[in-house]
Amino acid sequence: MKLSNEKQFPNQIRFCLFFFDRHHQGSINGLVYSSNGFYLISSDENGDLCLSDAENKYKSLKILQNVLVRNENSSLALSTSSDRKYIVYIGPTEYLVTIIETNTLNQTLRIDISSCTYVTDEQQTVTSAEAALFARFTPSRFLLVATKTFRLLKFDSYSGKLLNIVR
Amino acid sequence: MSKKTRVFILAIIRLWKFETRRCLCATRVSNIQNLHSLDFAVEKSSSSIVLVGQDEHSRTVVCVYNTSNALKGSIEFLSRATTDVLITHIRFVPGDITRFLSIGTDNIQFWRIKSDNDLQSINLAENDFRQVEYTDFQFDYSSKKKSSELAIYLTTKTGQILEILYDERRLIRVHNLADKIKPIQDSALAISTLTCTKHFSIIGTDDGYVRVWSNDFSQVHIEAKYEQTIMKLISSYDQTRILILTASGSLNLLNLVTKQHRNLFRSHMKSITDVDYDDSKKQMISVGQDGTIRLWCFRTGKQLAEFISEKETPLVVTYTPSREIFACGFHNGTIKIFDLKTSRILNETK
Repeated sequence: MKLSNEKQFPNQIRFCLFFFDRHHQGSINGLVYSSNGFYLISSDENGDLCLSDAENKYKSLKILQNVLVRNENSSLALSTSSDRKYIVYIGPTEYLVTIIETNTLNQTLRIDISSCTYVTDEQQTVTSAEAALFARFTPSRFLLVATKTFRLLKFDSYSGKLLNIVR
Repeated sequence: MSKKTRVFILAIIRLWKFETRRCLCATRVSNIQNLHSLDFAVEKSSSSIVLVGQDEHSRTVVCVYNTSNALKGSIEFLSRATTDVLITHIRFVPGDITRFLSIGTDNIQFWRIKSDNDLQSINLAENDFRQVEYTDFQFDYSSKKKSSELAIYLTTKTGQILEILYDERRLIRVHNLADKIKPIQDSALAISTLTCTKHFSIIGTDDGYVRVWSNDFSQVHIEAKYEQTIMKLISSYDQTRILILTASGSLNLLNLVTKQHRNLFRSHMKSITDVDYDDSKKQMISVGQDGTIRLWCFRTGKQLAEFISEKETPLVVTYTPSREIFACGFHNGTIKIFDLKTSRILNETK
């Protein structure tokens, strides 16, 4: 459909058409089904996140723009918990790790990894201050975050507490 | 930010013992990168490798190594020559480890290793087929049935086979295969590779056909169609089976006696970007930069199905929880939903 006539399509309608016709404008870098298979969650390189209705011709129900950090290293952007109820991604900045509910895209936890501290066995306080590459849930629902300086941060995915730093 | 510099990665040649699957020796080839053709020849107790690569100025380099002592773990550099022509294929003359022939798309060169290990090359004299594109060649004895005459069968992009006498370096015959088979499409019959056995000449083409011709190119005995361009044909030692490599990364075997065909192996041709598992059916889906979506059985390693996407590159793949449907995300923002039972696209979002 061509939207040439401005009078026929005022701005509001154009906005809606854009949302409902087009899910993604950039390269897809994440795809996840909800646990019941009713919803498909997708993300693209521009940082947009889309919730589609798998039961109704994959119509988009919700689009969140620029919520993921722009992904240049082509790693997969979305990771689900083993029960598929939660999704984790890096964004909106490369220092933030966000956990959302799969069925609604509602945010449940956000961790700022630039200011996390933890006390080692030797009673030393270590602060993480680096940008994240990608985040993954473990089967036992810990959260692993790989950083740009080749470290692995381990978090409790319920509380967001930093548990360990692996170099 | 540091400046990007082009790294000169030296080529490595590895010599393997086929029976034990062990690497006998590995050597860095000095000042050569981008190795793209090689041949191996054995004569009595001595053996040689000839290889083609590029030097740091992107000029073509031909190198010869003596591999007679390879079992002791060393190979010895013999000689090297630099040339401005592009070489795509190189092969030793049968039964002679001091002579070989190379071709590029527009050149044919006869090489000889002289007694002082210097390399000497002679271009094939002017002929009427200068403007055609050469694609591959094989040595065989001339179809004239004078078994003493060694001939070169040179294939072209336009469906000819040029028969050249090696000793005289003279074009003696042109077999125009496009005239002999029923035209399938209007486009020219682009021959990509060939191999010769005692009774047959087997020819692979860009459109994926393998045809087994009689040695005088008068008739076709077997015709087989593959999904992609035939990259290489290799005859078994007893000349009863042909190994067929295609551009889509599959390895196949054609038995010339029983005319039976068997697929040995399939693979992605470029990097794989995502996989998803179905533990109950022991199946796996993979997507890659080569534009294919492939379904595998991970117990046997066999490929069960393949979807080819020509315009879009699939990057991400995921099964539905029921594992009967899968979604695939592409580089242009499209998401397609595939039904595994019917192999149909159920939905497409943009």
